[in-house]
Amino acid sequence: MNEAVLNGLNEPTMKVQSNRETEDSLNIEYTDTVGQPLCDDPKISTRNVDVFYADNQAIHDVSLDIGAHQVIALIGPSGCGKSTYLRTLNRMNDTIDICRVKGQILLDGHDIYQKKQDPVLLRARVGMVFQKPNPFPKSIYDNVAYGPRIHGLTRNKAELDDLVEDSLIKAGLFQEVKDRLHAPGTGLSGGQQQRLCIARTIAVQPEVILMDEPASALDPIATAKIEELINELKENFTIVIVTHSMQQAARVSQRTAYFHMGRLIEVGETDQIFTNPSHELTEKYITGRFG
Amino acid sequence: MNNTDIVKQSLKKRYFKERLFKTMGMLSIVTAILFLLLLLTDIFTKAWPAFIQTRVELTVDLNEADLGIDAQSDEQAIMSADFRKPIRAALLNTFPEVTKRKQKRELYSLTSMGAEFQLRDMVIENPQLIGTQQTIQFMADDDVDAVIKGTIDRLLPESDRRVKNDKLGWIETLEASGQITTGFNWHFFAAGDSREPEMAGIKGAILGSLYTLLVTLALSFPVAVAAAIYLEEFAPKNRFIDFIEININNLAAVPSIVFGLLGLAVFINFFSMPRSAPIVGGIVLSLMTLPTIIIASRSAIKAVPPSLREAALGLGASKMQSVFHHVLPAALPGILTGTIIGMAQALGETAPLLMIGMVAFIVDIPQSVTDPSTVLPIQVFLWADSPERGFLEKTSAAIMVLLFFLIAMNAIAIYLRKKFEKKW
Amino acid sequence: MEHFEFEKHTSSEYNTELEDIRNHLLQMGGQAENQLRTVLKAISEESDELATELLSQGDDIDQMEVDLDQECTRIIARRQPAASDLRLIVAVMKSITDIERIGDETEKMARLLKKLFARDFHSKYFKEIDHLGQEVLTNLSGSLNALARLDAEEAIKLAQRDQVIDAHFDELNGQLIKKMVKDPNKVKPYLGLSQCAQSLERIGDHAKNICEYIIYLVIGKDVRHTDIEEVKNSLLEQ
Repeated sequence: MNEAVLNGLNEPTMKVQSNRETEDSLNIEYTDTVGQPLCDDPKISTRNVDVFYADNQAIHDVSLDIGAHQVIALIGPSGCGKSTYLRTLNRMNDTIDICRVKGQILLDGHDIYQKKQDPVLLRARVGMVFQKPNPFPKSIYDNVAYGPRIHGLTRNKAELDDLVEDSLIKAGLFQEVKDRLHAPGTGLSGGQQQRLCIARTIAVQPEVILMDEPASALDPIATAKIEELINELKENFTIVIVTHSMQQAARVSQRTAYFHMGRLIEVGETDQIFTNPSHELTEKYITGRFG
Repeated sequence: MNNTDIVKQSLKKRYFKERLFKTMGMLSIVTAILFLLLLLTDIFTKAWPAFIQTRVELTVDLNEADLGIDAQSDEQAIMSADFRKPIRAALLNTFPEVTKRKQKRELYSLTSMGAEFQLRDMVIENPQLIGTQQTIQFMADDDVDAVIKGTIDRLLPESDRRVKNDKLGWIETLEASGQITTGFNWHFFAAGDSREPEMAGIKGAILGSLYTLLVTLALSFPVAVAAAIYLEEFAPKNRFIDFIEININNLAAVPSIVFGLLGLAVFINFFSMPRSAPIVGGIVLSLMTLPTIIIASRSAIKAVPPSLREAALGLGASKMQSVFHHVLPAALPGILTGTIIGMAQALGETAPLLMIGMVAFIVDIPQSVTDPSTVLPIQVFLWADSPERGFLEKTSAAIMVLLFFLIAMNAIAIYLRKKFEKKW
Repeated sequence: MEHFEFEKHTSSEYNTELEDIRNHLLQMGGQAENQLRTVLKAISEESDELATELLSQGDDIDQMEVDLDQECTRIIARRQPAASDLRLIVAVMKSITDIERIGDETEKMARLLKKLFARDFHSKYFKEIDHLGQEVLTNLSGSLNALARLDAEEAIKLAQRDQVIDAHFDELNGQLIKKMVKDPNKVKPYLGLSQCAQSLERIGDHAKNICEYIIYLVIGKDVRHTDIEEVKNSLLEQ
């Protein structure tokens, strides 16, 4: 083996050491979002979104399009603002007094933070599934029927029955629970509970479904079922999913957006993000060099 | 010496400390139970005689001439008729040897003052009795009662004994002829207060307490729950709200008599509400109970997992819907528990009610929340204050009734909590 | 363009595994390079012993390939590498195939040489082939260096240089064919020489492949079967 090769071998290792000493690898200057944050057929477009918790800025100048009928995954280390951003999309942040949102968020071209936009109506159009399965302490049937009932989506019991059944079928849960629709929803397994929550969400027939780490509390098989479900749901819904599992993001999404310290660092096709991210921070996060 | 040895050495000490702590804990519990048992036994043994009534069986002649009424007389007339006469006649009949005035008076006091009312009530109920002879068990006087129950010792010399020889002799004669009987004292639960121990009942106080608590519950529960919901779910976070919160907490620590003063000054003097009435008592007690229920309700609402609210909001429920459909039902066990604890507190409260005149001696049983009445703990206080020997057992009996109601309310609290508690 | 660098992973074990793979790949490359050097020495010195010695080493590279393949499979299974790590694994798995082929080609040359030496064949074309071989060797060492340093710029240059080797080979092969036509008696030895030259040209191609993997690894672009000039221009623009 010649010397050049030997030298070459040692070189990266040396660099690694020098980098470790300075510890500045995370303090990379922020540049504009790289990749393709915008897309042709956006369901939701956000422009220059800032979110503040009191004086603390949690989201800095995020501009991102969410394409119709596709799954976009938001990834990033804890506290990077991805969940906060997700919650601005259906104004769940409204419930927090100290939270302020600046910038534009357009759903089908209409600003959802306009005064005349009703957050209740918005949430009927943009549903949400949470990290921890949170069925109501009611029966399976009532859980799914709750949304349609409060919005008055059905005219009679038969219609409601159909809607509940249909939603449970779509959520892939019907076969498992059809004999015990009036058993408590809290008696189901974790994965079933989460699918019940998804069924409950789709019963309202929203246009967009926001999912905040929907499978993080589930075992691999339940997770696989949820992922399969997400894949099927994208035919009818636009899905935004926040996940800590990069493999999950890679498996379920068409586009991936990487958040870091409240900034949107990179957006791109999932294939590209996971094989060849453009931004150094994305690269580091995806390969597990921090986070 | 390696680590294992060091740990082994310290283990002994640690286990000893643990045993010591356990023993001390056990001892304190045993002490507490002993004291409680002592208290309960004392009350129970003292109260027991109050539930037994001594009766004197007499055959009375209800002839129309003596009473001055006949079977066709209306209630008014019956009410004003003199029923003392037949009873006294019956007593004289039984003991014909008594002739002196003083002795006669002694003899007449074998039956209670209430005996004539007992007879009157029977006749009112059934006027056909007029003109017949009836054998009736009359309420005995408290002294007779005391002799029968043994609270007055028959063997004491006459000078130290409340019941003199003459009377004791009559009592023993009656006893020998089987004319003195005992039975469960229903009268205690059916009558109002009285100066005569054997006639005094607790019904007035029970109803007074009940009316007061109803007013308290009707006022404090909705107000407190609404306040708790508003403060927890809707109130903006600012200094004003913080100020209110602090003051609610402080209010819970205000001495209850202060609420009584407030009730006296505001409701009675300013608004001219009736004195001694359950309505005023209820208002005052609800002021006192409000902070307790608010604090309990707030912590119950706070304990509802936020995921439940989020789930409802995420489906497009309004804030109001999320609170009333999900948060409130989930918090209900806690709210109810808090409410019943507050109610139990109100049930046992005396001081504020003293200030608004509920301490008065009231014979009539209250018919509504505006009638003058007293409440259980004040009844206890009043009887404990009375000099007659017979009131001692009444006091203990009233305490038992009060304790029974408290236990019943706690049992309801536990039942409700179990019933509404749901897992999530 | 900046040199690509590997920073530490959160998992130090993973880090070690990735570094091991790179090191083993470079060792394997070094082995192939050594074999090529030996076979060229055997050509220039017309030495039968060197050719024999080379043939005795043949199995080393094969074993290395098997080992590296296993290591890569294990990392894929256990670490689910992504982004640059994923590209590294892919590049390594592809590179080892090419390096193994390089080893095979050197062995093939050694066998051809032994036949030629056995016939006591001498020709000035040994020198010519050695020249071609030196160029190929330069390219191979260069690409292995670029691999060690993860130097995409160098890799592009080297990939372009493959055209020179191809041209050189075409010329040499033309001459050899002419020789065969002129001297039909010696078709067999010249054919042997021609096959040697062809092997060298193949080694050059493999070196070029390695360069392409380096480019893929460093900039994440698959440049195979595309015009290298275009790639270069687009990279220079960046």
